Amino acid sequence: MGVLSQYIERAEKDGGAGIATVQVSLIRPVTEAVRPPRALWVPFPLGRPLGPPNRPDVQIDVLRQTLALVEQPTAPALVDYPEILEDDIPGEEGWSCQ
Amino acid sequence: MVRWKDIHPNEQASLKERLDGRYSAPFKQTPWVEAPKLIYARIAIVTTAEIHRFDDRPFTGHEGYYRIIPGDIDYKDLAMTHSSTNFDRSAYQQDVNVCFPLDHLRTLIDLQEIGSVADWHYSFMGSTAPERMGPAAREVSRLLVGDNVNLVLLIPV
Repeated sequence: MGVLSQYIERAEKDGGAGIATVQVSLIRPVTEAVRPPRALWVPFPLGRPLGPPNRPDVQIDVLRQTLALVEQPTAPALVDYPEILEDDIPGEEGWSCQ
Repeated sequence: MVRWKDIHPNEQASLKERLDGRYSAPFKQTPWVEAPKLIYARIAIVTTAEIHRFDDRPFTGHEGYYRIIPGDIDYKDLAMTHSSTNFDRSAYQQDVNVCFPLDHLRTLIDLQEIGSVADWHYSFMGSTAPERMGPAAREVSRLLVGDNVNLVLLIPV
């Protein structure tokens, strides 16, 4: 994911767009290796970068905190989203093939 | 479902070793341009969730190409053809906003927190070698400029 920021945020003369990027990170070591300009690491399982399904409150909070990375003064900025307690997230019905 | 911290330490070490080889060489520096104030931001989503219009070409293998998603897409017209076995699709199947939060961006426009949303958004395949993504990423860069985007929101899966 961060690879794309490496391309997009580059200057246009270097083949990029010269456009600022912010991103969600699911695997911190990958983001540490790629060093994108601005990233918010989240503690969610793979497949849920903005949090649990049907929880717009959590998802919008993650989105707001990701967008707020525009205020970071230097790069690379890798910020941790607060750990969410499992108890804070309502249980889900299991999904399976029958 | 898997969190990074739940992966066995040996597996983590192996992945880190491969990541160092995969990513370190091409990207010694971090690019940086000044970001806009959010109220003036025109935002495009770029996702590596391999989602695309239902009638578009499915993703195959570790291809580096991309699919275009119209900004007025109806979520029911989206499909995901990610081939990874490392995550479950049930969250996406219940709520597309977990990885493609167009609804929430529109909410933030209504709340006057951001400026606007781009006319077009882009989807790639994750876990693809950087050099393989390069040509498509440069092409998407030109399209973003043409759409007057000034802030890109990157979301993995």
